[in-house]
Amino acid sequence: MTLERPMNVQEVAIFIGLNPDEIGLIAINGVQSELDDSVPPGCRLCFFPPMSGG
Amino acid sequence: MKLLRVDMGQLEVHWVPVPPVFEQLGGRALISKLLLEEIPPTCDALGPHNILIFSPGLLAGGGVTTAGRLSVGGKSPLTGGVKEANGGGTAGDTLAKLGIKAIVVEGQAARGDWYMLHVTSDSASLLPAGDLRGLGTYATSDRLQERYGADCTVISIGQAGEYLMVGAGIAITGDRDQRSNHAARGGLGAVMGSKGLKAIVIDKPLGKSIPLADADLFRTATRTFAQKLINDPKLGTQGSQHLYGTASIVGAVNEIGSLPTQNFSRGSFEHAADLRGEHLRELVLEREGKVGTRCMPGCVIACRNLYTDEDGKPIVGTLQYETIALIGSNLGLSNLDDVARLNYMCNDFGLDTIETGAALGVALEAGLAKFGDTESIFALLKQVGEGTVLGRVLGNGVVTTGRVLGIRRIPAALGQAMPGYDPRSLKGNGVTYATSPQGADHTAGNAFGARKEVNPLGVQGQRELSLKLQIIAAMLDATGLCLFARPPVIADPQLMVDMINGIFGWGWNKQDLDRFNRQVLRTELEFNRRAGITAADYRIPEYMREEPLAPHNAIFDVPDSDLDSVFETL
Repeated sequence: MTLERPMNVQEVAIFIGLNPDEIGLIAINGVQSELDDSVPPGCRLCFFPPMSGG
Repeated sequence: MKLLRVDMGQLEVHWVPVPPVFEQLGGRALISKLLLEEIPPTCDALGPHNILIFSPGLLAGGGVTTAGRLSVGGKSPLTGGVKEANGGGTAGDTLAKLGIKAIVVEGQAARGDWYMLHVTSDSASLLPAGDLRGLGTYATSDRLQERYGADCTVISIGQAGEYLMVGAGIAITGDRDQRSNHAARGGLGAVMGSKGLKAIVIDKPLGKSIPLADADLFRTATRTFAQKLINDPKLGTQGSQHLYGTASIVGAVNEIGSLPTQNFSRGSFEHAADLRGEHLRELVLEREGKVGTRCMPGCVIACRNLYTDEDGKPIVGTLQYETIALIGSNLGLSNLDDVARLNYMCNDFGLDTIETGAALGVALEAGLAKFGDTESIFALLKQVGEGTVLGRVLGNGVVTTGRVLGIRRIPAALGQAMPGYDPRSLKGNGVTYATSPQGADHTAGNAFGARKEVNPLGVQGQRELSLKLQIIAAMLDATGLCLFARPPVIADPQLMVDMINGIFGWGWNKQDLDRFNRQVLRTELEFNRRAGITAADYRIPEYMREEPLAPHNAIFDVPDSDLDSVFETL
């Protein structure tokens, strides 16, 4: 997707219709990230639901 | 409560009162104390001086959701130190309701003789079990449930335990389809085999319940605990754990570059999408299998599945993350049906899928088969069940396999195979693997998902994080709680205190609980020290400090000085 302006992760989540409270794990280019991290251009951004390691 | 002591040398059983030193202990806590008090730590783990302990946790038997896990323990023939492995199923609650604090098996039967132990509400007897010799765990439990009733619980070893393979675990029957739950790690199946004990049958405790010191306190705390689990977004009926089981994390672990792939040579697998929990769920539902099932009655999380083939015939109950990682991506396999069938074989032979998957990964690197070559992998695993020479190598775990085949890339710590998180991309787990007295064990302190506190790829803070997680794990393992049920008792330890006080009336507070949890680890570390395990043994393999892991080119670079000081503040 293309963003019209620089955003952080939380803003992207809301933009695509996700509730930030329902996000478990975030990865930017495979690196675990947080809601207030900036989203760099050309990155791969993944959202995962809350989950537990077993 | 009472202890059931089983002397396999004299073929006698004795009911004894619980000595005061063990009264306020259960599960892993009881196991560690019994080992420290009763066996020479330098003994041969497969010899007559080791003991094998089956102990429910402190909360078992009272209807606390998920608290029925059974702890099994002894000196591990794999790590040379203390070992507690716990499994789901019906054994934990059943033993607690029968008033049995632990079954302690000591000595050894004459070589070649096999026995089973039958436990009822008021008796226990050792019976010849030569007819069960050579049977897998499924056939063993089928035969014993035909003989003693479908409602009885069966604990058994398969061929791997009979052959004294240190990759052998112990199977426990469970609720309905969940016939095969495992106290898998650390070679305790070999310890059971070394004693000549093939199986334990425990009759269903009809009309039995545990006494409560303060029923109102207990019931309030128990209800609050269950409700918090139901309301947890991970664990409730719409949560990932319930919908997809632990396979829900395959995608995330792959994304962060920690999924063991082709003998831990990479951290992401190009076919990970085919192994994901979402795909597993789709397949199972299309084929009229089951998802969201439970291994023990009363569990509100219900993370298990009954994995079926294209014709709807059950392959295995249950297919979960660790097996998908170690038997799937670690072997280059991307077909869940194949992974499920290999899982079934491991269960039947009584093998730890983590240890076996890691051993097979090393074997594939050595060229015994190609990664992803399903037929050859099945053929190798079959040899373990048959007890061929190569099978015995593989069945004795990743370190033995690596040494025999001349492979340096052996993913193990303290002699035990690493589970499904490569520590180079999840360094908190690396600290746990290296420093836990249990050896490489993710359930001893899993840092997955703990990003808010510590960067998984960084060095800072991993030591403190691992210590915190190890203390929590000790509490869960001593109380019989499933580790997925941890969120409410971490957020509010008073809940745990209230449940314990409600049953026992000990008057604990949160500080008592914290002291209790830490003491479990202190006892285990002391046992290991006396067993001859030194700081030099609590390490990550050298190659993981040098060989970068794709996709992040990460190495394990938490310094040894940090590993040595994890328990400074215990």
